[in-house]
Amino acid sequence: MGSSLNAERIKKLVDNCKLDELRRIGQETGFQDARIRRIAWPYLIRSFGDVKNFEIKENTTSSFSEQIALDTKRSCFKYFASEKAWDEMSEESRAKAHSKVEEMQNKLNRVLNMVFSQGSSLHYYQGFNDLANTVMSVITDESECAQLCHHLAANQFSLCTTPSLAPVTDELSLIFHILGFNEQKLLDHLTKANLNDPFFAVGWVLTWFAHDIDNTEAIARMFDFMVCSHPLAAVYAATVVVLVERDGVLAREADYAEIYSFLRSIMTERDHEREQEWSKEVLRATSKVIAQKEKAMGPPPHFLGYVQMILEQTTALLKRMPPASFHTCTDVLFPKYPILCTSFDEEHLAKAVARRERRRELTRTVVVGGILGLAVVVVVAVASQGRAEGYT
Amino acid sequence: MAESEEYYDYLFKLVLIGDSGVGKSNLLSRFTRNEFLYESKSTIGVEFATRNLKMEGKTVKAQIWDTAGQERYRAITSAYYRGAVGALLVFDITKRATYDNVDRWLKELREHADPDIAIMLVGNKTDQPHLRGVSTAEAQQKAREAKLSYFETSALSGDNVEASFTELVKEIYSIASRAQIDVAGSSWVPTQFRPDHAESVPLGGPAKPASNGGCC
Repeated sequence: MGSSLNAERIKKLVDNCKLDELRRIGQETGFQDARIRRIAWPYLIRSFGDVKNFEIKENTTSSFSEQIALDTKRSCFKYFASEKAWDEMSEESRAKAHSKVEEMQNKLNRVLNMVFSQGSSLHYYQGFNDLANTVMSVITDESECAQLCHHLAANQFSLCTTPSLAPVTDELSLIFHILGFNEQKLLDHLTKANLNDPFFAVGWVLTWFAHDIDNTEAIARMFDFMVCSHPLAAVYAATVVVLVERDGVLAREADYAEIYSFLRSIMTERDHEREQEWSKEVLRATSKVIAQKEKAMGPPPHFLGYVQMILEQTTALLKRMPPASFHTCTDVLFPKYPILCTSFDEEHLAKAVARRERRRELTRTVVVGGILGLAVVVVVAVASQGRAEGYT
Repeated sequence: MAESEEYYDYLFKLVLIGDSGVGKSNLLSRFTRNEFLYESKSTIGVEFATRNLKMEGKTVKAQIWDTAGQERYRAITSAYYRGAVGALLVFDITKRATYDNVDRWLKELREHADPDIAIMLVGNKTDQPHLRGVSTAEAQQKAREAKLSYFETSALSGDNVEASFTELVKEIYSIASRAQIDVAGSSWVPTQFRPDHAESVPLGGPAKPASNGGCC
């Protein structure tokens, strides 16, 4: 690889705690191979906050063990062959491959049980297996992998690992909010189709797109970006996908099922596309990195190019409308979840909390004032009545 | 196919529900694409597929919404019960617990779906008779008590899959065509995902043919 990105340089940045520089690299180009990721990811994932008392437990179970078992049995396949290749395999080679997959599934099962048996209040959800699978493809050590997944579950995915998914549906609604500022026409079309909740994106946000993408290199690139970004970055990326695919949406009838199925499957579709429907011109025009790299290395593999473009536009959107700028709306949208303003903008969080306190104070004053006022009226009324009675 | 997939006389929205891992997604892929995936993933949120069926010379488009089984997804999946005219409630005949949960799923439907939704109970995985944990008679009994029809299927071998979906569609069709006579003349729109209109159209009425009729 001709780039200046190498393991030594990344190691040096990690050793010297150059968090900003590492985050910039992860967002702009990604870390490009598993060796470098192994150095960068643990540091970056841990940078989102401490997790106390992680206990390494062998052969442990949790209240989610059954669900975990059901899901791990349906995981890991993409790390051995593409969906199409699985389909075309002979019975014999399939059986052979399955026994290898099983080894990886068992490991994933142990990792997930370790994560969700830590005595914390983290709740496992279907899809977390896809996340952990991605981390495991890079971090091969079992307990380190579990520890990092625990970090993710407690920090960047803290909204998803609560007892209910309600906070996630609130988080998802931000997609339409951001769309409204960027593409009213598109939002109108979605609303006309009664798409009032962007549920098509729930898998993207809950798994950082790992559930829908089979191309393991592309998933890793996605994760390079996400471990460097605000917890809401996946929601921004989801918004960008809708914006990028706007013509496809607008070309469809304003019908719920039509548009839902188009958006729901778009990442998988793009991933599986043999022919490059996405013209290279579009990619070149929208992606600085691709334009530069192309000179040195030829055109990018198609889907990786698509993901790169999505991530560059996500960075731009995050800069143009940072999560902090939605605080007036998040304050209304997410009054119960101030956690949305984590890490990157503690100042804003403090302000939001103060604002809420002030509002509550004001309400209290009004209520108390109202009661006092009423009391005065009653007293005066009773007194005047008494006086009136006294005259008769 | 000679006929365009776009054209249909009726649109029926169905939901596939039941515990995680009972085989909902594979029942759907068997019915709509005649496929069974050994390497299938778990479903996150809601997915859907369609297939057109012929009923007395009319084309019925079955739009089937496949839901995640894990309880915490109910907040999302239950939104899709509204406007559905039929439900396949699936359990795994080799896993007793998934059968025991049938009552909870029925309660779920009663709370979120239209009251006259047609429900079919489906015991899946008959390809594993040696592991059977729920007898046919027992499940039939439960179905009778709850006034549901009952089918046993194998998404893997394909046994009875076609029959079960078709039977449910037929059941709805007969109600819908009877209802259509009652309201002849009124302009019905297909039951789409239209929560606010759902109650006015309890059953999918005749849909307008697609404007561009494909080849002919």
